[in-house]
Amino acid sequence: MSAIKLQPEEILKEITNFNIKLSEGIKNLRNVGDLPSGVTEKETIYAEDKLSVYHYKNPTGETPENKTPLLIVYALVNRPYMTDLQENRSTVRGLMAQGQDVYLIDWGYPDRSDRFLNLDDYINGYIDRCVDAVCEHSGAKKVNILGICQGGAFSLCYTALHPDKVKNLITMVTPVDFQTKDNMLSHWIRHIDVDKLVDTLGNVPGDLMNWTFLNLKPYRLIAQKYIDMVDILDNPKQVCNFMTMEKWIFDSPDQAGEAYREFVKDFYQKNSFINGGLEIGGQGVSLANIKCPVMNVYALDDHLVPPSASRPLGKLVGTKDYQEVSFKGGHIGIYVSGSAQALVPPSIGKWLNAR
Amino acid sequence: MSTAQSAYNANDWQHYWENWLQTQQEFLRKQMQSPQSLQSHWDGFFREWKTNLGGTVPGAGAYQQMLSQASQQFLQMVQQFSQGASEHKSVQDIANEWVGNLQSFFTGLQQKNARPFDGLDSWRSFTESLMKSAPAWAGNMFPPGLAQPWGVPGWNAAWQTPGWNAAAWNPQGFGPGNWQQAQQFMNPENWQAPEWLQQQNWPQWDPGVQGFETFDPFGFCASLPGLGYTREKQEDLGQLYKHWVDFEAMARKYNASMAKVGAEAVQKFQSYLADPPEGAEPLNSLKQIYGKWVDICEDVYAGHALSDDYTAVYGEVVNALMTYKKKLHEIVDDMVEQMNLPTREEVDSLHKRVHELRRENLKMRKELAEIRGKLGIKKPAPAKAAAAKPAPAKKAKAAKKPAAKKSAKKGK
Repeated sequence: MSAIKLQPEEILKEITNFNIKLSEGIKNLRNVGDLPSGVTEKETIYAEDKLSVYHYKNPTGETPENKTPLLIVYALVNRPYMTDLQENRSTVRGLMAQGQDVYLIDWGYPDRSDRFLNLDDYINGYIDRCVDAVCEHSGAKKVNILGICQGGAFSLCYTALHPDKVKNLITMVTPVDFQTKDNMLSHWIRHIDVDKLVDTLGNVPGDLMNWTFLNLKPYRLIAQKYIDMVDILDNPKQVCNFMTMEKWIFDSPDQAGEAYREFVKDFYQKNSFINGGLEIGGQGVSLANIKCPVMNVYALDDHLVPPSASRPLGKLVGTKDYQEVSFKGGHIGIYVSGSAQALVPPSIGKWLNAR
Repeated sequence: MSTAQSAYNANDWQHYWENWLQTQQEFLRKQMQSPQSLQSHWDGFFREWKTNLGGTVPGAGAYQQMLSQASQQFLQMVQQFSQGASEHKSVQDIANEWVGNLQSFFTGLQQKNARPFDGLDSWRSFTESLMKSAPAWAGNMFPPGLAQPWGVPGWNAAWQTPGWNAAAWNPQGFGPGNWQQAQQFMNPENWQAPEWLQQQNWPQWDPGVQGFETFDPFGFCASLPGLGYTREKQEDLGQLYKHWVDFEAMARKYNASMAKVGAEAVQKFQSYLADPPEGAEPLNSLKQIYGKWVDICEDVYAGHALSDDYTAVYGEVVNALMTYKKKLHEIVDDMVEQMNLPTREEVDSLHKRVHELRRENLKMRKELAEIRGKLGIKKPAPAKAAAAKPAPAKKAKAAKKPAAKKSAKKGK
């Protein structure tokens, strides 16, 4: 059997179409205009240094059914507007539709003056003060926390250290075991002298982070993705969607040097959630100290945080009220795929409302 | 006659040529309307993209260049199939030719990176670029009439010491202001070692020989101990050079390992074309052929990228780069200090002290609030950072990157 079945006229047609779509793409690109950085109306209720805490307003005007505010703690990598990317692709709106009162920490863009911020500053400092601010604004005594990716790891630490302030915890695409066999980032970082890297660079540039992530699948992400993109170039709406995603993917803040150093050493190199010995601000962190209900959401095809890295959480937390939700998709698909949007926010909302 | 052609009967031939002519006419008509080549179309598209996103995405220009290079493989494949089709070659033959080219490319890459670091070639390219830009830079920085033309006494002196400056060997001498002479000094073809050095087995420049191991005058110089009050600076330059060579050697090791991935992927792709797995759907477009190639590359790469060998070389290349950059930063800091400007080290030190003070301040505020609460003096307010400020009254807009960062990135 022949592996290729292709006639010369088909080759020429394909090339012609490719050219035509490129021409159309240039026209459509000119019309893309400003790309959104979040679509839902919001109010800043707290600001400190580079960070802001937003309170989202429900477009329907309905009062939240759940009186416990839900605080989204996003990763320091990339920007949190991914949770509110477009009207029909907004985790924030999906949660509000389930009666949640949604707040979000936007970490902003750290610069060199933030180089010495460490994990203690982020977790016992910033997050704790954000929680206080949300409680003060909402009138609640505790918050529900939704931690995403690295923000999920931060949320686990925070909940373990401040159990009196967290009513329910949801972790989404969150690594817990950082040294699983299929975790490429974990393999790469093992022989890197992180002290030398941070001492040299100060903050770790967002571009360097981007380059590292692209190299997880270099042939697909650096070349094929853009060849495939040509297929949608004659469709203005799809071009706009593509460019919105493209903007977000490469909208990468620099990482505060000390926090990066501690995160890589404690989590990637020492795998401290699993092996123990994690200390933040001089206090020991044990996930067994998390007694509140926990929901863990992970993506089955996640190449950044494979399911094997996320699922060990169930055996480490000190609660019996632990639930997992998985969906077919990748690390980013959770925010953008229609099926994930139909599954994940409603699952979280119903789970929270029942507690 | 190729296999594919022999499978055609007379009717097929007629059908073939009718289709061919019709498609050619269509193709030419489109080309007439839009006479750009595929490559220029592609480049034009990404220029537009850069314009569109340049204000929001850091390093858009660099990324555009990278994309243009990354897409070469597909565009070359398209070009090859297009040309092959017009020459009535069978698709199998064209595919084999394309794969053959890929194989040659990766083999060449492996061979190139298997050789030791070519310091000579790198030095030549560095000096060419330096010679183009340095006179203007020096002219702007240190206009004539200044007491110290270079303004950085220690470094100026360091450059003029044996091992880093031909002045000691060249009776005419040269200072940093004399770029023409510097160019002569820096051009390996002009190297004339002093007689006493030539008696010490001084490596001779041989334009016919490539490879750093045969000609390393700078490595020799970098190993010389420093002398006099600029001793430390001379040694700093020597270390910088050694770190650069170390990094280049590691980068070659890394490139060679990546070329190995490419070569293995080519082999697997060839096997797939020769003997596709049972039940595999035939590839019936250029995109599908390319997609299969990418799938195989990613599979081979994933296996390689998780291996101990790759992890080790990845660590080595990153560590070597950081060592080199760190030394470079130290030298720049030293120069900046000589110019009476604040150094990075000083600014970092200040930032560190500010953070320590803030932590102490926050801790005391928290303790004070707790004491107040215990004494029932007043409801303790949430402890806020010294820099904390109330929320603005107006609606928040999405945070934007600092303007300085954007403009700095644009200049990349």
